[in-house]
Amino acid sequence: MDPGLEQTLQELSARAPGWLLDPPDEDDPGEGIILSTRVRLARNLRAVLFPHRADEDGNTNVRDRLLAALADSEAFAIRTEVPLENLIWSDRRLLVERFMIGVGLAESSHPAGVAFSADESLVAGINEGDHLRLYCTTAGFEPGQAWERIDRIDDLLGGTLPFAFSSDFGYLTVSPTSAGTGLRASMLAHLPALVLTGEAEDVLRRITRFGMEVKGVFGEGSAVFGNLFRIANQRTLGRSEEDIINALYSAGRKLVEYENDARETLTREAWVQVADKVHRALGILRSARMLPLRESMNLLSAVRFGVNMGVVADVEQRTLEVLTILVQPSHLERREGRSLDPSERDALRAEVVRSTLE
Amino acid sequence: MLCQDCRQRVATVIYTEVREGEKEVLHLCKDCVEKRGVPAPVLKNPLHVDLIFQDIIEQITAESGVPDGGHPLDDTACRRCGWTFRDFRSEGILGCPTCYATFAEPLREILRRVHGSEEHLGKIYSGLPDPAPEDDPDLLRDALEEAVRNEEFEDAAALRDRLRSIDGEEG
Repeated sequence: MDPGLEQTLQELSARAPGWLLDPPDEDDPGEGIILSTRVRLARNLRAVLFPHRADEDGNTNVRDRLLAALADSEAFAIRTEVPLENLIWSDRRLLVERFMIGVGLAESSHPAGVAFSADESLVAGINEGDHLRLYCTTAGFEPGQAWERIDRIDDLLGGTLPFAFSSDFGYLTVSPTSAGTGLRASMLAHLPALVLTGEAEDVLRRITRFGMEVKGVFGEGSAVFGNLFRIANQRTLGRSEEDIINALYSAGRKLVEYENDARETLTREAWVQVADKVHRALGILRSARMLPLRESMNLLSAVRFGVNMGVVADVEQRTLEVLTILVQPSHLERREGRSLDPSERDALRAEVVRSTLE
Repeated sequence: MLCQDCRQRVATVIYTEVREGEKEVLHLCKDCVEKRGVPAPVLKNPLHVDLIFQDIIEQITAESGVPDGGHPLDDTACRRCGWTFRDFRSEGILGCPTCYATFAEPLREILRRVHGSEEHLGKIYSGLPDPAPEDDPDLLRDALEEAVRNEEFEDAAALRDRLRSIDGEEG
């Protein structure tokens, strides 16, 4: 592998994404419950076959063309380009663990790439289903800001790239589920109280009536762990970008309200049990010598909850968000510079957590 | 979709086994999930657009009335990329932007069911204009076929050259 790329991945594995360290405003409407916001825009080149249908040359040409356009675009401030076919699976997954790309791009076998800004708040996934997917991520709950940034970049890129667009169907995407605006605005919500009180399913179902879709961040469907959910607009056609962003604001406010209600109930009816759960979690994180992924995510969730509730005073919430990323398998392997078997990973994970929380 | 364990009841749960990054996704019914001894799931039912989309494609197929799960447009192919409606139904994705024009009619109905609308109300692309008719590869390709059919070989050669040079530009 190119030594520059090697070094970049090594550095990434040991540090949090810059956007995560950029604190949200004091009056962040996410209230520590909505941890981050991401806006995605899907764009394709006119009259060019979609990546799954194009041959190797076609996909390589698209990638070169898009990288050149991104490099020329001042607003994007591209810092790092990573051609994915040069990466082993673990390194591709490193990018997934940082919320940079989706699993689909990590699994792609055709020429694909990712480019990102220094703080990773702007990411371009190239040949990820669509030719171009632009992402803007912020800490806290700031869909409006994320949209404004990505809208400006889209305008600039559109000046030099012929995007596939029809007046009927809007921006044309590989899946009809993204056609129209190509905009997917999402929030990462931490809902421990709703899960604890057994209301999560019900509340999330209610949220889908706002036109939202819900996915567990760790595990899917029945196996969600870590109490983290990604909630995004389901529909991309037949409404304006502003409507989509506003709908996410409404859904987010609603979700924060439900979670806060559940937290109040717990405080009122099970305060000692909640405090006990939080302190035990912190105790394990600070002293365990082996930490499986699932357990560590659940414990980090409990401590995050404790910080929000004022039960834990000596840990910053941001430290927990950073750990959530850095203790995932590929980050640990990169940090160590070799592949690790599960028990080695659990031991290293425990060490990273311990040294951070001590 | 039927439950992948019993193959009798409709699957209502996406069940994922995760072992340190390696995952297996199964579509199961509620009874079979319980049989696997899983604690009460956080999310029992699909709340995700991709799954709703699969159902909509199945609906459209069933409504077309073609026996054996076919659709009357199955053999219609996109003039640019050759993707057929059958490919679209089985993969759930399109082959190229031109597919939207090729399959406009059924897509309109599918889009209406997925998004509750078939009309774009968002940003209008105002960057580079559409190519003039003499530079539009799709129109050129149609004209080329026509010329070959009518045995107008000089025209056909000129059209082929023009197409080649455009494809070269597009890379």
